[in-house]
Amino acid sequence: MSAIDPSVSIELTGRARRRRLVRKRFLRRPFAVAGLVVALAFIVVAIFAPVVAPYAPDASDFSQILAKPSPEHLLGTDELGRDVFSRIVWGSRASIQAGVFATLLAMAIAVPIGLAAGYYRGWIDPVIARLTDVMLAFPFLIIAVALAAILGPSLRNATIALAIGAAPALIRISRGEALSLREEDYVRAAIANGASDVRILRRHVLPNMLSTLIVQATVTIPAAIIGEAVLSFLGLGVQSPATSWGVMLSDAKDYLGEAPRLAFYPGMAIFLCSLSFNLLGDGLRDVLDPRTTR
Amino acid sequence: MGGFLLSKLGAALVVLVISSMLVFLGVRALPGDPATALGAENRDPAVMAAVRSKYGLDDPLPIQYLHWAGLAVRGDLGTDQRELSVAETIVDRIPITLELAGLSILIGALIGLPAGIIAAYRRGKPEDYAATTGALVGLSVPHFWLGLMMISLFAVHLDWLPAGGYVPFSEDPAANLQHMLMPAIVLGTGLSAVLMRQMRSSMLGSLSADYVRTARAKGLPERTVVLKHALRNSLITVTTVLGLQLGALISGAVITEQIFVIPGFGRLTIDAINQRDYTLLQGVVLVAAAGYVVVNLTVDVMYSVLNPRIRVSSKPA
Amino acid sequence: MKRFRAHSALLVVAALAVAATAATAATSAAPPLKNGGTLTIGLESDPDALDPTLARTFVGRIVFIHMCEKLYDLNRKLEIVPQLAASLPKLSADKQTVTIALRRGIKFNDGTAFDAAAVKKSLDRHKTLPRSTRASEISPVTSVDARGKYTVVLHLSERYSPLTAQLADRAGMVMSPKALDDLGDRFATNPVCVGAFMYKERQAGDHITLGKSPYYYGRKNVHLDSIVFKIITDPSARSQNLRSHDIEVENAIPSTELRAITADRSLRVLKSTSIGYQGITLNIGNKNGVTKAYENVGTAIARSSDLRRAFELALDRKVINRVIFGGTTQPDCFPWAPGSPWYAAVRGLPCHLTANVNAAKAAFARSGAKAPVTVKLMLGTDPIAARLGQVIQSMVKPIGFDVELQPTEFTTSLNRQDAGNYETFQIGWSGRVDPDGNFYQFVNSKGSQNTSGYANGIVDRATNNARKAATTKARVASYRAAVKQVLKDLPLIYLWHPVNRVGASRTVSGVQVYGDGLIRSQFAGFKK
Repeated sequence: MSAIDPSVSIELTGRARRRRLVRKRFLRRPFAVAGLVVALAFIVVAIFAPVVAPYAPDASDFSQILAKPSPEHLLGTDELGRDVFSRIVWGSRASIQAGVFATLLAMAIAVPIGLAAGYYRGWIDPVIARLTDVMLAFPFLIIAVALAAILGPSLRNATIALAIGAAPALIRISRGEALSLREEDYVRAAIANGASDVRILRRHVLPNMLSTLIVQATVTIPAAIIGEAVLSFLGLGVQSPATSWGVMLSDAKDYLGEAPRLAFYPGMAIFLCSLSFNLLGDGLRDVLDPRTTR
Repeated sequence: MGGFLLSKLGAALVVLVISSMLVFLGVRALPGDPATALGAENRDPAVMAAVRSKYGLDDPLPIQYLHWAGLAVRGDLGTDQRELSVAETIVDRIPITLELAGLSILIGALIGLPAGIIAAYRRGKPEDYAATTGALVGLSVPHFWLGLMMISLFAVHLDWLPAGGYVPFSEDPAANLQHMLMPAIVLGTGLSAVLMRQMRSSMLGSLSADYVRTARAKGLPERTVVLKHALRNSLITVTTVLGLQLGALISGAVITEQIFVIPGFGRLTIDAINQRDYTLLQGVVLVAAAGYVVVNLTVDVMYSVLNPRIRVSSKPA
Repeated sequence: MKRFRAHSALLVVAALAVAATAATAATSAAPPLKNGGTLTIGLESDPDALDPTLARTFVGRIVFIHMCEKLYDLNRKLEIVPQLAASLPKLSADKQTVTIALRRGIKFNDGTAFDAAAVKKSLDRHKTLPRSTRASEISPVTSVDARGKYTVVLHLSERYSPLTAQLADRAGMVMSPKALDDLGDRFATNPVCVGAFMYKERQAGDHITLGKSPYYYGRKNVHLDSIVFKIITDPSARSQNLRSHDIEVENAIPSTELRAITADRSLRVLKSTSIGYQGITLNIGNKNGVTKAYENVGTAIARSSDLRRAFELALDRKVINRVIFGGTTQPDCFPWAPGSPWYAAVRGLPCHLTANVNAAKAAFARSGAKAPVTVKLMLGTDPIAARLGQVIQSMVKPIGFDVELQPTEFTTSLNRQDAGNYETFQIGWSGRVDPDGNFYQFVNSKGSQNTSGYANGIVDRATNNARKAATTKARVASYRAAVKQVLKDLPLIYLWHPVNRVGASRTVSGVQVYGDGLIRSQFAGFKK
């Protein structure tokens, strides 16, 4: 079948060449490479938190309350005598988890819907367009806060809330992509050849929008990481004794006068983590998107 | 044009009606009985029963919805748990958030637009890299944390600015601005990153457009070419983006108002959720959604007036 | 409502506080005061409806003090004294008819005359308006008569000694009949009473403004032009506002800010201990919902009183006070606060303020349970609750308990508590003047708030006897017997009594806080 479908083979060799090119172009961008390295570092730390952290995140020492940084406690201790460094390490788990899973979930919701709207058009398209409009009519944070309140405060529910909040924008993007890809010659050719819709979507449309989706994912992750922090800060995300950077900030808020460092470190962690993903995403966009050349 | 307007208006109405249903159901999906919230510490059963009957909580949902929507259409959003008019409360609060949003847009534009213009004009040069990286930094900073850090530095340690609170502009303009400065910077810097990126890409487009090339060919000074011809066209797109940022601004206002103790729309929302104040919460979220729909409609219409091609090519998106 | 949670323990103040420390501002030799000026008071939460019939919140009472006078008031020694009444009530021989003489020549803040008909109208409204939170407070009052222009007579269905105390609170507030006629159940939109100040405007969630009344009978003692109640929910922001003198008075100073405020020589701190308490309610028999037939819920901690004892012995009240509250509360083991006359009922009963790990381990062993025993603890979603949960968790862990924290939004947690859908719950009680109010409803098997589902014959008998007891001594003895049993069975674990601290700028004088914890600043002013 594929032998008589000329577009496929041409496309494949083209893709391999393109991949090499992309790698070369990516490596020429120091900020993007740095972003990739730091993002990977955060993921590794999150996975190996038990090994990296010197203390358990909830191990409190009531005789060591609000201790200053020392060799024993690298970043000092918090208001319950817990090791701040260990909590940052453990907190990365919740943040990365929320960031990555919320993004994956949002993609899983948004891409099929967007594809259907853009590829089939007809009555589905305006219906989905209106529904996306409705979702976009509510400020993202209000949706997330309401959902977290409805579902009950937990990391899982915060992740779901963030995913649903992020979905409408992704629906629009994948719809747009599907819409324009549908007009490409090789898709038209496939349709003319009588290929099934599923096959066309899987073999021609989806692979070609992959780069856009990857770029979107890398910019959605940092947004979700910050979103998780906001929800936890409002008491709607991760719950004690589990920790996340947002929880740490929320705890630190009462001690801004006495120990501002308690608020400084987790904020820096959020900042560096989301910056790394944003740098990575920005680099990928430049590299993958043929329209931007620099 | 008329048909285009009508279809846009129709779509907006549909969105508004579905939104109102979602608001209504969402509020009722919140766990926790509002009668409990109003039953006082000893949760007197007689009081709770009276509360249920006053707010019609025992009626079937469709009846409750129709009752509420019917009154809402006439501008009556009911009374909240303090026995105050929800509509009046919202009208009181909107200017506060609008002021915050306005100042944030001002700050965002003051930083973002020049940076975007320079980055586009000096494309590929160090200025461009500085601006684009700066924008990424702006997008990566958690704004509520920036707020906390600013409070810690400028209010608690240096004692230069008030840590939070709000003074109406009409009462004391100077104090009003003092209170608004930090929150507006916090929200504005985030916005500036978005605006910078938008400005840069749209300027890049304009600078390579034919009319700019023509203007250059005619020997017009570079300044005029960039600032008059290219910029004017880019501003149209950027304004559109600004309109679409309203939702993000309100989201930002929720947490910013929380941190800086500003009695705006965002804090009203969080308070209403926490107190299970159904009537207040419904009203607040409905008005927020309606605001977004109206702004979008305006932006759509304005855009199509400024750029007639869109009318033909625009499809529901 | 939120304030009865532990996390807001510092915000919690009781109906009547009892600490001897209850401070008042510049008592002797009051400095001369300027006329004019606006006093700004920072409150920790927004009052609910400013309608004496519907009002529920503590902060609301602070606002009412300034604009709605009552038939009776409390003086500095917490004795009941006449305010709008001319004298203390006269009781008939059977104590079921109460006659109250009213003061003359008093005007409401809309200029209309205050008289017996107005009092009757207000009391009738308290009794009959749906949603009235007053109705249950004065339920034994069957009818009210206006006898002549300045006397009201209340008819009771039974002897009811707390009546005067109720009339010294919101049930005793008298609303302008004209305003009631005009506004009906929307009285809160423009409340008119007799008061030193009158309602000017309110922005929900932000502020309430009162202006000096031109009609008030004591207006020559009123110095301020206006009072603004500013709602600043964030504790650090509230304190910051006090320190920068953007507000003159701060209610509920948080423990994290106390040191800085105490050290600030331009400020002073007034404190009062709550007559309420904070603790943990353990679900023993609340399987079908509160006041429904009680049967053991079957959890490990519900089945074994030894396990509950082990849990309680492992808690270190002093550490909780120090770590969570910076030493600003009053750790204790009983439903009444030290300093309350009713503390006599518990004085000398065993109370360990520090943990007794060995005894806890022994009790755990006695129970025969295998470690780890999982205990679910429902608590608030804010940082202080989270801290408390973690501290409790780490305290009982060595004994063999695995505490699973269930942070729950407040209203939901109350619903779950009433439905019996919880294991243990960190909750408190704002406290009542009468000892019965802190105890009976929670431990008597007929109690309306016995959410533990606790039923014990000794406790039932003793608490019933206490209600009927003729002498204070007999009452104390009954309570002592009941508390002894409760401490054995532990349907509740009492942990501490909150202490409210009010901060005030030294530029003002005459701001007072009595033992009831309410800020009284009707006659305050700026120093000359």
